[in-house]
Amino acid sequence: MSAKIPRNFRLLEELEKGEKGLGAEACSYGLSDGDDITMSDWNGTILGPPHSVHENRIYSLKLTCGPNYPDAPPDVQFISKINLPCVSLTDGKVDKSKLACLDKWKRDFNMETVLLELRREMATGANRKLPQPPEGTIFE
Amino acid sequence: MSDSTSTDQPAAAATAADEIKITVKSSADAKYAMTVSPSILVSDFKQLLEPQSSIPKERQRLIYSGRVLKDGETLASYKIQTGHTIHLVKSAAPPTSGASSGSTTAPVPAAVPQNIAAGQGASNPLAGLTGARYAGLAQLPSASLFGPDGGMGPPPSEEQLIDAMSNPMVQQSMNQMLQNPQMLEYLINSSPNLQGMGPQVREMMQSEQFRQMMTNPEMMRQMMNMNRMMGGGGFPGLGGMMGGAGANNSFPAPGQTDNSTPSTTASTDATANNTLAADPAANLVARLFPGAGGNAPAAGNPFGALFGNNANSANTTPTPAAGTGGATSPPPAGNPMWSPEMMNLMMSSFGGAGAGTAAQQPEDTRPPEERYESQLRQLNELGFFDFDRNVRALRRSGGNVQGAVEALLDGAV
Repeated sequence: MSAKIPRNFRLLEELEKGEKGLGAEACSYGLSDGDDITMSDWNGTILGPPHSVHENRIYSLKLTCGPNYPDAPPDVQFISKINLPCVSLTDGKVDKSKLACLDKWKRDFNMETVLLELRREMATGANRKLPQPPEGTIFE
Repeated sequence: MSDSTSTDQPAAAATAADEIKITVKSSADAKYAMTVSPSILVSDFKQLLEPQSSIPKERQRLIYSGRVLKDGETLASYKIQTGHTIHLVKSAAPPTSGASSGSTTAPVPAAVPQNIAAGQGASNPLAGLTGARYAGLAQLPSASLFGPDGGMGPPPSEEQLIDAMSNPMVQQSMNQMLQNPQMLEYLINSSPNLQGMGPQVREMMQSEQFRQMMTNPEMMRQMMNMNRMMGGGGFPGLGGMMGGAGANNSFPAPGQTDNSTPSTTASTDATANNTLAADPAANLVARLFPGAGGNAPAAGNPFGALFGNNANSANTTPTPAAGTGGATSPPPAGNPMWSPEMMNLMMSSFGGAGAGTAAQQPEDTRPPEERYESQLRQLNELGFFDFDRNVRALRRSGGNVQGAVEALLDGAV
């Protein structure tokens, strides 16, 4: 475990994982534009965790992997409206300081880490009861 | 690196030139291998999936690479290729509007207080706004209730709690909290015991009387007296309750700093019962049980009356309507909350979990030196060396050192 994997290799790895569905089933991600050679803009979905208000919902997100990824965390923004403490109510941006994996980002983390943590966040104590905007509404 | 990742994929066998072989993953590890033309419409593809997945096409949702596939598009437009995987998710039953307010069985009854704090379903456009205030719990007792150290030190004494409850502000917020169906949901859900008890708990917690019990300082004093008599130390029920609501770990209150408070408060307070901390809600109900135990000081105490009501009236199990009504108007005299079955139900579930056992536990059979080990040590440190008297005093106080000291000083033992 010595050599640092360069950004693009990492992203290609993640791309394959996303396309082939090798990761966790509860979330999915892929390049929003397959021709984007910088591999910066990604789509993600999170399947709402069971036994919560999010059950059966699919949340769409936008992830942006900057040039410093994976040394720096991706920017994460919800497209689907959601009421969650770590998510801005106005534009759906995830507040990095409020989501542990973004706040204490490590190089080993990837987009799936983020999506799964968000999903976990939806399932925790109070959050799973938060009233949610109607399904299908999106942040402007 | 690709060879290490293709374990659960069907071998990308050669197929007809323009056909692609994809995998559809559904819930519960169900997988369907599909070979289709990339130019197929998503809606047609769903049709193909219908027999295999036995999910009607209208309720199928397909996700690929972070996108929900739209019916009118082709698979090719999403650049789906051989070896790729599409996720199939079954959507909720068609009338989606009602399903969003609570995932569990409990519908939020429409009859609960119509003020803004009542927490409406998601169909209400304001829900997002009003909901946000619960995240902050702005009006709940502040952390200072637990002392300057955020509750890490000794738990608040009973008197302090009573004082706190005499404060109309605190009382009001407690009341409001208990009126809030979401809060109740939360309390109930945080305790498997309460959960197991089904809808009755919710009704009980929503009842006016119950709330009064929880918020009336006089009642509390009574409860605590009883509590002492029955062998419980301190007032963990309330500690847990306040903690559970005011500063629970999993309740991310912005600006709320003392995360660990509730457990510490409750568990240090409880004499020997760790589960108390984990189970604030159950506890709070359990505290009421000394009265139900049968040997409570009967008349002249509000609980006696409460339980007495039912002692000889054959009771029906509460109807859902009774619970909802309870939120706004006092339940009828029969007080269906305390039907015998309900009692049994609660007692058995508390007994199983060990929460609130102070009330239910039969005589502790351990010898007193073991049972009161730490308390006896404390009494020794305080200069009380008469073992027999110490034990008697502790028995009397239910293991409460302070109470024992009082008894010893009074010469009551």
